[in-house]
Amino acid sequence: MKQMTKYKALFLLITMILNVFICFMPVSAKEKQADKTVGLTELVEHAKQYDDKEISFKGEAIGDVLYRGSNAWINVSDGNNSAIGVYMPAQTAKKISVMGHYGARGDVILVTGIFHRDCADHGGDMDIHADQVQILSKGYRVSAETPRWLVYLSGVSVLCAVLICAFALFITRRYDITKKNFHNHDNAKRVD
Amino acid sequence: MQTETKERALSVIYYVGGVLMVLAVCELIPLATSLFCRETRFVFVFLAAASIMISFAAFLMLIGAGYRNVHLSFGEGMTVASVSWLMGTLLCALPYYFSGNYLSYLDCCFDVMSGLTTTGLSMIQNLDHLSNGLNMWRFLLTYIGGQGMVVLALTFVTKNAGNVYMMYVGEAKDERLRPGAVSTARAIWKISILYLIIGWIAMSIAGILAGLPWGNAILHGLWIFMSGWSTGGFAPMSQNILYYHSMIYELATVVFFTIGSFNFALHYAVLSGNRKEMRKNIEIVSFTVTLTLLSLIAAFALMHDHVYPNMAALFRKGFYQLISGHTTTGFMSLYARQIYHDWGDLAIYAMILAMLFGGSACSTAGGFKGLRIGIIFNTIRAEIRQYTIPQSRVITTKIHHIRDIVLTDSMIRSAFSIVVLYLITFSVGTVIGMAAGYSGVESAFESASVTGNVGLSIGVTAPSNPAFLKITYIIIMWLARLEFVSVLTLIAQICRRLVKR
Repeated sequence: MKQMTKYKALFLLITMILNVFICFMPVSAKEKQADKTVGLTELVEHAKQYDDKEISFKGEAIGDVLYRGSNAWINVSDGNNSAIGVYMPAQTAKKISVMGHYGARGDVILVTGIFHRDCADHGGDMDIHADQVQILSKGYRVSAETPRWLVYLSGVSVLCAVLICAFALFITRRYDITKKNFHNHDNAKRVD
Repeated sequence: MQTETKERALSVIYYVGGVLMVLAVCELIPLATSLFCRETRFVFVFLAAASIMISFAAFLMLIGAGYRNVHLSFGEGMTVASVSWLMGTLLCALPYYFSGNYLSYLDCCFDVMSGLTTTGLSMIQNLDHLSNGLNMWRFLLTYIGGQGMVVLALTFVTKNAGNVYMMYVGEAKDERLRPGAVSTARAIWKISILYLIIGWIAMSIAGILAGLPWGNAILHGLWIFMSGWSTGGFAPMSQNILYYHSMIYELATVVFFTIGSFNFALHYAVLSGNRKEMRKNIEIVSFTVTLTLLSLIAAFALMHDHVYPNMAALFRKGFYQLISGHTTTGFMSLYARQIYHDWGDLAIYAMILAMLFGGSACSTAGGFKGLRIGIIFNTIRAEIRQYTIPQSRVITTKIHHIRDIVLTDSMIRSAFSIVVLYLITFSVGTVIGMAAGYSGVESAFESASVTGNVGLSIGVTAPSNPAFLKITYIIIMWLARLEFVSVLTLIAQICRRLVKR
């Protein structure tokens, strides 16, 4: 019984030491930045709170690199069906190798820079002027698989369309049904 | 009597089939785009969708083929227009549904109705990774809807010009540019294609200046022109016009969507050499006055609240949204929720009015229309003047629209009726928006946008909306685009049949 209490005390002591160790353990730089990142919805909804402050924004580079002299615009999407413009030196933009579009996922980048609710330099755009751009993961090609049901459906429907159109053409040409009914109708010849 | 009714119904079915057939053939353009861009999945998407639509349309045309030369009444012409829009929406949604970019078929129908009515609100998912083929379909629908899909279709399907005119009116276009309805429809398409060539080149150059690679500059140039000219509001990227971060690009869109919101009769007059019409036309005068007043109100409100840091920002954000709303285009150079959070009530009120006023009659634009605003303003002015002169004298009111027109009671009654119907629809949309849990300002803004076929959003429209709100918006877009008459005629005919039974 006494031995059991001794083990319990030892277990508690080890747990406490581990807790203290975990609490004061240094966090890696990458994890620190990840904690600080702000989403686009948060930025738009609370724009005044972040205005002219340094923020970190993580997302996929989409569309095209829009070069403007020695600088460039990269639009970055955090996956919530919208994106934000990031203004950066053209040299930095060139490091981004894959931009997201149909058939490709763009590089995932971590942008650290100053957020502007209504940028005075860029006609009131909500944007980020990047100080640092870190590529977290490289983009890649996505092969858009064609589901089998779609192939079968298109085959069957093309066949149906051809048969119906052929039948319609045959009926209308063979029997001249328009002319027959045209003469039967009183109002038929009125045109403007 | 019953046989005649049946014949007429079959004739209506034939024409609806004709419209659907032309729309189905139009699907070959995105099919070719997908083939060219090697988007295999979308080749099958469009093959399946187009052939289903062709089969259905051919079936309808076959049923009614014997009665295609029956002369339709006004009500039946209207029915063709309203039913074609409804059936067209249901069937044109097939490529969207097969693409997997939508959460439900209702969302697909919402986007098709939004495109065809040149509204521009969207429920699409993952727009930034959308295929070129599907994008082409989105913009093609907007372009066809803007000029008038029924008229486009029937100029190819029928030689019965009398019937075409009924359907032309049913699609809310009642100007005769040329003596015949078919030649008028062709003139509309000639004007649109002329501007398409000019606009495509201009927007492509603007795209290259904005930094787009030339391939995308050309594609985006075509799509943005089609959307802008049709006062649609769709864009190929989720940020809409904000994606380009370019004042030149924004200015180019302003030019084309403003021209697109003008009356086709005005375009025809100016292109035929009558340049004076630009200064004298009631719709241009009305548009200039309302745009100036509302711009001043919005600018005052935004400057008073220090929303933007300088005049350039005020122009690119404040004025751009306002003119985009007034022409019922719906291009946005800011995020939807920024309007709600940053703009005060006064600026939002100016936007709501701008969206409701809308562009010109017989154009691609929606809203009350400048012609009706002009008629109502002149009528009120004449009424006030009437009080100041002896009762024995009667004032006649004139407006200038292509020619001098003396306002008749029926013109005034028609203008007031349509505006009242728009206001009722706007109110119903606002109340239903509030019932869905949105604030009064949000609901009113979104309702004005839907009623005016605008497409600007304050952040209400989303795939997460309840189904009843989506259905309400679909119905409002349909009603407003066809200016109520043809849809109300259809409802009246259905009610009459039900009562008879």
